[in-house]
Amino acid sequence: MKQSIVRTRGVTKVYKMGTVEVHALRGIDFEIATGEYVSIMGPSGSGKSTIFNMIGALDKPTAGKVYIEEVDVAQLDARELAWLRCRKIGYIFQTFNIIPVMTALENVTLPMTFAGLTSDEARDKGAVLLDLVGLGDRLDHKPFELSGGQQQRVAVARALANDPTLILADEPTGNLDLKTGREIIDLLKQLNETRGVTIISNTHDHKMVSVSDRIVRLQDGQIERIEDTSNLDITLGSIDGETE
Amino acid sequence: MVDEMFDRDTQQKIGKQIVLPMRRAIEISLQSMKVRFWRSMITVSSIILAIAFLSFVLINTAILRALKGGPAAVVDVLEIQVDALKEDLGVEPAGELETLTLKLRSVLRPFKDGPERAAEDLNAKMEVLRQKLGAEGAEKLETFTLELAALKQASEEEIEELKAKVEALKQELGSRAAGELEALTLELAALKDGPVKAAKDLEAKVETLKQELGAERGNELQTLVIELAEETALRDRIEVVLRGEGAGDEDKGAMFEPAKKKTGFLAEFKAKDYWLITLALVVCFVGIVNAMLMSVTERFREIGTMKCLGALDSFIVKLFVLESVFQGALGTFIGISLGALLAVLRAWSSYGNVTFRFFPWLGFLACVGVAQGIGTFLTVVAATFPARAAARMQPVDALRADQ
Repeated sequence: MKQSIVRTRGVTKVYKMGTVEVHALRGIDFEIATGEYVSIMGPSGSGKSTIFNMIGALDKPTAGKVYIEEVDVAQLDARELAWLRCRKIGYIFQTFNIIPVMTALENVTLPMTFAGLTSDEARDKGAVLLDLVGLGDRLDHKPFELSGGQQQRVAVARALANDPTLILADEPTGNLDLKTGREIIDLLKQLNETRGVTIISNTHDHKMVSVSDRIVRLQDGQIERIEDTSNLDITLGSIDGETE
Repeated sequence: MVDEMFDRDTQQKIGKQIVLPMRRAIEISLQSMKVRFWRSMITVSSIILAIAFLSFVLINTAILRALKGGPAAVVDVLEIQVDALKEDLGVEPAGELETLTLKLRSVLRPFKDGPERAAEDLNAKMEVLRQKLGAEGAEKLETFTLELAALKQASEEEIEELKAKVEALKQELGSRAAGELEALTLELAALKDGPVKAAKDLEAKVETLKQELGAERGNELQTLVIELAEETALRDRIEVVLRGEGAGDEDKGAMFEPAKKKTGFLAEFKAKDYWLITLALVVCFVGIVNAMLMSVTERFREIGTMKCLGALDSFIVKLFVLESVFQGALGTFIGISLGALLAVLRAWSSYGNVTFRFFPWLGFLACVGVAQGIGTFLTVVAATFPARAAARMQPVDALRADQ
């Protein structure tokens, strides 16, 4: 049996907005195995972002447990959490979240600094990663000198900085056009296949469906169903006339 | 399972992460400031203004206090010296010398090089006119003018007669030049009868007294007396300006002063000054806190991102504190320079060069030190609180912050 990398048990999240209580999550149970590519999909308000934050140890559940590599995230103190985020998990955001004052290379090497690598080691590794995502010639560009797609590539390279076992992507193609979004998705799939890194993606994008191993569909803070794509026959049209 | 993930080796790695490269933090802070140059400058300029205001108030007060006390102190010392010397020489003759010296001084004062020189200058001018009008005619005019001036007890007739003669002569010679000669003749006569004569008289008397008392000590007394007179005049002049600015005598402030006399730098500050300084500090604090708060709030998302990359809270705080230290140091330095410059310029324009004669160097340095300390301290404190709060936020909240 494949080891589970992420496991949730009865995760619940309640937000208090003044006197009103908002139940963002109403008991989520699922398991994700190492090396899988999972997409979480659902309409707005379904709890996608919330469960994503839980899995990524960015927020704490009101009730229930989240296990990353069988470790209860709630038991970790601030240092251990930081270590987790630094070494085990790579994050990709819809808004890229690249540090504007640093070059592409500096952005990619920043997490390496937190992991204790020397500047030279970091720089070499960073160059390799940027090359991997196709930005080998733009190491010293600042974010404002890069297009949206290129910035997201930097974010992908950064997410890989410390060889994480898990990559969390929150609407990675949300701010990108069709073509660029396609490129990013292909990149992620390639990483999943060549490096065996687990990818969990929060998304609206249907282009993600074809590359995912499983799709978790959320509705009103609960899992509506989990689809195994090997059972699905997917044909999508595309803008430039080629079929999937 | 926790042990497996966080085994010995890992714990050490976590430990290493804690001792984060300070150098890297400094690099990032400086880089940040460089890239966000104009935004940094806005923050720094808030600090500059606040500190300039504070420095100005402090230094201005120090200068005013020095001017209040300085000339007065000099006068006091001179008075003591003069009195001592008078005791030595014999109070009566010395007192007389003192009086004569002062009289002579007031006689000589209106004349740059003395009344005799003034008389010579007048004569020179009159020579020019004499040439113009012709020696004979000029001589007649001068004689008649003097005669007329001297006639006090003469009859109406005689006066009128002489006046007519003078007029006729003036017509003959050419009115304007003659009129001028007439005026100058009278002026010269007045000089000769007045200041020149008085000066000669006084100088003779003074000489006699000096012989009596001993030339050397006599001169000493004279010098001191004149110096005293000048310093007293200076002190009074400054007092007038100070009072005009409301910085004069403050017997009213007396009830707020502690019974014990303060010494050193603080002795220069009175109750009224503390009030203004406190106000300056409050302005300073609010300005800096506001600037720092904005600086941190703007970067919530950046902070959230860094936390996702594995940054510890302490690293985040370190980044902001470092930035604030740089900005604080720079802003404070410029602010103090600005405030000091303005204070000195203002004093110089109000009081003239005497500002530098009584310049409170020690007080000035103390003000600079105080302002520097306060500025840097406030900046760091003002940045630390919001930075800590931001660092402690859950990443998800920080990331949610609107850019």
